[in-house]
Amino acid sequence: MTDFEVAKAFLLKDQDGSNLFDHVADVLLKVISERPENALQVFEQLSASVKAGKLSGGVANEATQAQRELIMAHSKQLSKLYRDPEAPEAVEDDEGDEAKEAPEPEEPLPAPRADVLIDMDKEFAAWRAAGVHMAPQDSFKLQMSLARLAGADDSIQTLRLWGKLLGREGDYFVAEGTGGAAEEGDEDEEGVEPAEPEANKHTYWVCSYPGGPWTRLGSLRPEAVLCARQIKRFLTGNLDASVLGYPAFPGTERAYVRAIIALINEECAIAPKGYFAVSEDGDAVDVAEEFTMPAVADLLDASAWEAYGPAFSSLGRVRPVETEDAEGNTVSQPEGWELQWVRDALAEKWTARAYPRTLPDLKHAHAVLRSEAWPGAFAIASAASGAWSNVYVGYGFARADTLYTPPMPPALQKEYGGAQFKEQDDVIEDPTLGQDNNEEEDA
Amino acid sequence: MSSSALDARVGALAGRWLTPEEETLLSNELSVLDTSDLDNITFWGKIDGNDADYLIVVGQDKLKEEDDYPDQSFWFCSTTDFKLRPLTTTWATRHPEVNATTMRFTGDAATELVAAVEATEDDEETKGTAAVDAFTEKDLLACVVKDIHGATAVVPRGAFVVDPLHRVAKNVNFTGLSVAEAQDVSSYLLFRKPSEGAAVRDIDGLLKPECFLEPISATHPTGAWSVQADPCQTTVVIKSLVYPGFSFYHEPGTARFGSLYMGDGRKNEDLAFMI
Repeated sequence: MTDFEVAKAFLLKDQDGSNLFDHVADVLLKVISERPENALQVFEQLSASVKAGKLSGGVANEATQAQRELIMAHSKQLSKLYRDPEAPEAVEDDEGDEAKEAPEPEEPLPAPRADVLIDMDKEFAAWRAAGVHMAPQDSFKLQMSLARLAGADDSIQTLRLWGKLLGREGDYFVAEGTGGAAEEGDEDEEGVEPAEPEANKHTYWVCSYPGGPWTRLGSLRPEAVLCARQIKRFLTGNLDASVLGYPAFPGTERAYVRAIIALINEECAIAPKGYFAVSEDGDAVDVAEEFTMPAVADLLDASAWEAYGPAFSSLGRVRPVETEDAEGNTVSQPEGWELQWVRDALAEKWTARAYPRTLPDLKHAHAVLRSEAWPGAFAIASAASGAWSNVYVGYGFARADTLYTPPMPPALQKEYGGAQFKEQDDVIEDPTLGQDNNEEEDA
Repeated sequence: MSSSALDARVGALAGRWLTPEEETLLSNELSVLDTSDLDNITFWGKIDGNDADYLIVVGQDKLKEEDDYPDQSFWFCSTTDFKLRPLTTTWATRHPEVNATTMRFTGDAATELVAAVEATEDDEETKGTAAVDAFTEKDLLACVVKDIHGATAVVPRGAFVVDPLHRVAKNVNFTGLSVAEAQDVSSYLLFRKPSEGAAVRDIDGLLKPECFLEPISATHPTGAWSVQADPCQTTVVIKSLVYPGFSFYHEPGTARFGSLYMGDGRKNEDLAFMI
């Protein structure tokens, strides 16, 4: 072999599917085709870019394969929402005598029940006037999965999308409904304050991506409301994560999400005045029989709205707590607290705009109210369609004009100061060595 | 300007986007804006105000021979008149009398937040002070946008390279991050001149992206960037917990990425208690 052939063989030595000879040829080709003015100065960059161009192709291909499997799995799961799983065909092997063991047929999802869904497309269109945006595909996936959710539980009467809570590692889409059977483990435990029915008029479900399975959140409990008011935390996106911070939150993120929804509803669930009517005995609230939506110009004033979300007392409860004092009289706590079905919306907490601004006289214009207390909460109403809606998209914490400080731990309890039981005085004996001791030792 | 300046994809992922009215009028305003000095122009975000909101767009200046990093310039308009004006200020930082925890925008850029101070002349007892211009809401807006943009100008690694003339330029061959890289916060860099380090012009030889752009962890404490992939891992969304309202998306394997800020402009000072 000549020296030339030896050298060429060395250059052609395969290194991870390429070789130096081809690389130099490619670089020179790049120089000739691109003809940079300062080819000598930028030679390293040219070489690097040729190399990177070859490498990235391989890496990308590998990734696509793994990703294709993910997409396949996800799409199969999604297709269950609109189609029942096909019965697996029995595959006969070559001999034709015995069928191979067919895979276990998948349990079909319950039939969809779409009549309980409120007109979500109309709601989404109204939300767009407030700048709340969802990809049309996502909203359709949510509707499909909600219809299946309703199909699984006949006691669900209505369902709507409440909004979206953003988290650190995952987000929650939140659905709000009435009815819905309690799951196991949600019953009131002994020794735990029972959940109030008025605070749990609505049931909430969450899912982590459009089309994903819905998980029912348990009942709202007073202690969760009390604690959620005092802590300020990002959600993680995992319902079973513990909620850190002080004071210690009773329960996992599942209960925390429910408490946040309640706190947002307390202030941000608002309806045009007169939409709801409280029954004569003041024991229930229902949609008023006669209601006419005010004009958009009137809706732009927060005084035309009223909050209908449950309001919580300083005890975290909707109703006053009645106890007996030492003399046997019934005392209700907190003092003066009454169950509030509806109350005026606070004008200073809302910013109102007409949409569209450029055509305020449009017949189907919307009034959009944006909450200043909870960034991400909106109320939208249209006079033409007579429809109104609330939505929330955000991280689930209120805006504060002061920096957050965790509450101080409670004061130490006082030592018992009563004189009745007095500790015995310490016996102090003179420890100096005396005669007695010496005698003992001698014995 | 083409519709690519307004990329609704990130809005759908973040859950917040412009209303159809805002989108229409802003994209129309962008078409009449003189962009001859610009490489590209994109919608940056929206800052809420009491009476009107501000829409902000950011343009990337064309690279000049002597530049190393491309300059960025901002425009803003309020949602009352949709008239794009340059967002410039003579103030380097926010006026100390404006409280960052309680500040709220009105929507009128001319609002004087801190009145002007007239120059006083030297007299026997006190030294004279120079005249100070009034600090208007436009100045505050410019400072807030600069702060947020400086901390959140996220780009995927490799989207920008140092070109043969040692200038930071768009990588036309960028094919996106791989699926695994895209879910790693260290694959993202801040597209701005690093706060320290030698100028790109003065460094010889080959430069990796990390050598001329800082990683995004430089402006946020650990855990303050939220990186999430959708179930198919075709889109990765990054959110800033320091500036809630900022979202960024990238589709791995493609050159598509973009970001959006929608909020009140306030920084989350309570982060330490929240994660």
